[in-house]
Amino acid sequence: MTNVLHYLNQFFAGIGGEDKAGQEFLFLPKPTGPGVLLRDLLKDQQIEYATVVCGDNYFHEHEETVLASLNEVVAQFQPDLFIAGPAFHAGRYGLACAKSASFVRERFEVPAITGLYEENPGTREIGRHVLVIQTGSSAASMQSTIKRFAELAVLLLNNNQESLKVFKEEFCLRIPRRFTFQAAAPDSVRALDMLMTKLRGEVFESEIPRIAAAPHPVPAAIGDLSQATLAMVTEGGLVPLGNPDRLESSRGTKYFKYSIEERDDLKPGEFEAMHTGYDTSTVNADPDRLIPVDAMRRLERERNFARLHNYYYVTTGTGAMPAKMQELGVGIAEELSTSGVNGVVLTAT
Amino acid sequence: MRVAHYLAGVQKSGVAAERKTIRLDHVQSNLPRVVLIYQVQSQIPLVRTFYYGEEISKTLPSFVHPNEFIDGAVVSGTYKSERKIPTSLHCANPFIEEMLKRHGSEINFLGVILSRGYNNSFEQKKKMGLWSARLARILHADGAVAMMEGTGNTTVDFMQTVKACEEEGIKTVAIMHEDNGARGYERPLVDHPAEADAMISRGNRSEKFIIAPLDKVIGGEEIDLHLKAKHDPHKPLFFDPTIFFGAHCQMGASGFRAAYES
Repeated sequence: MTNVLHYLNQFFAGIGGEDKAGQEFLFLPKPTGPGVLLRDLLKDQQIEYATVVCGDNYFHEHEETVLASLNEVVAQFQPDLFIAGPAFHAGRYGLACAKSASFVRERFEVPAITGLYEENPGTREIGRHVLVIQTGSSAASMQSTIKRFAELAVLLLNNNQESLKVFKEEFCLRIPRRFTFQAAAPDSVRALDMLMTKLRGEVFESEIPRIAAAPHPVPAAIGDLSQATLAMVTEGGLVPLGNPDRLESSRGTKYFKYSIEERDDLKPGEFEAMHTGYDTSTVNADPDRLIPVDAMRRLERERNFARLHNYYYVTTGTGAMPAKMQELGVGIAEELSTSGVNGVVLTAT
Repeated sequence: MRVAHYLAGVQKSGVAAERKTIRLDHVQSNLPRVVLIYQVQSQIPLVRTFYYGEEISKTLPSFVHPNEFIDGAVVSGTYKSERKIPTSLHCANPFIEEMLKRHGSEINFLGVILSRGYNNSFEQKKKMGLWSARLARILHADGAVAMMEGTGNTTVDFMQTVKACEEEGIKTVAIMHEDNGARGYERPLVDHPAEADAMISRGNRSEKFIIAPLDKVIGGEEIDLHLKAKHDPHKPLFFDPTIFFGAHCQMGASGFRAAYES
């Protein structure tokens, strides 16, 4: 008996549309939605088929608890194969599929597959070894996609490595990612071997490709500062004492905003710096030295600029992932922009 | 005490001691002259390196005989995290060992250039690179193997060194860990000039993996992870190599490297 577990969102499970995006995580001991067709295509295999359902909004608002529940289901049901979606171009669904499939593969080493359109943001959350069948952008291609799922499922369940390789090349999304492999020798040996080759003037292949950083356009200067609203942002990890929102002390994955409304300066003992990349004692002794409320208020009073924004924004750099930081930067910029902020004082550490 | 007892017991048995002579013999032929560039970290208390007992942050790059490393001239005063080199690895460094092994047959191993990263300004990082390359040039090095302690910021000092060596015509191979993120799509290095065209990878240090729950646990009830987290070893641990002290060196020594997943 082979156990197959299938993740669907509220829509494909037939529960409801956008109105049911808050659907809580639930387990169904049977196939539903596209799972019915998939189960049928696999009728030659002895399959016990179950479904887990979660609303697209619910997943993202309660990711930790959903994954904990999924953990329980997988521990109990013990699937031999995990399927998520297909999500086509649906962003929230695609992310949920990617995260749930990756979770199951990473924690339980269960083969996991999903189906995404190549531009689905979920492709950025695909863990190692998770197979992503390339789909069209709309659910119009559901039938053909499910047929592909069935083909891949059979190959995986039979562990047919050769055919898997061919299938992957033809039907799976190639997402260029770098992961760790075992080389034939330690770094010291490979280094000397490469040096000898280089000294002889022979061709060699560098193990780490040079990937150019995306150019960052420099924004135009604010012409008339006296009319401008300014905000303060930092990656220096300054948070209210006690770190109520649990900002990481390195490699931040979130940003937060804290009010400085009516404040003329930040007092020690009210704030602390969560950061392992610099000596935080000076900032803990005077938080204004990271988020300079005192200096900015003085300039505001002197009409140097029009208005100091009521919030400062913070995340934690040091060892942070560039792509994640870019994502956070975009989020902060969007919020500042809709709040009418014209310029930012960014304190880096 | 038990270790001391055990070692004393071996001595008592009268087994002949193994003698090994480590020497940089003069090399007659035209073997390529090669240096090892060894960039360490030395900044603040608990993050220091000592050379003959002197903290090295105010010194210029020094030319060091490999035997001085083996004798313990370089001592690590950095006490935590995945990116540090402990004293035991200064004393028994795989790069020094490999270059000693090939000395006289493939290379003329000149010695080690001990330098320091995490310099405070770009100007100082560039200077450190130029000083290291100048030493290599004065020694008439044809090639260099470069390795470093630390991550992030100090990559710039390191790459300035690689760049400066290449500009002196010294063919350089540089060893680095990669930070490709848990999902593998981040840029591997924070700094990578075109001159660093011969890289050796130590693997993706931000890749997460599962450690199964342990049956037998000794030494305490909880594992102290850095970032102020704790973990119960009877539960599975899902984390990246950065929780292990000296992980960069260990990953390299284990032969791990990163590559594009096909």
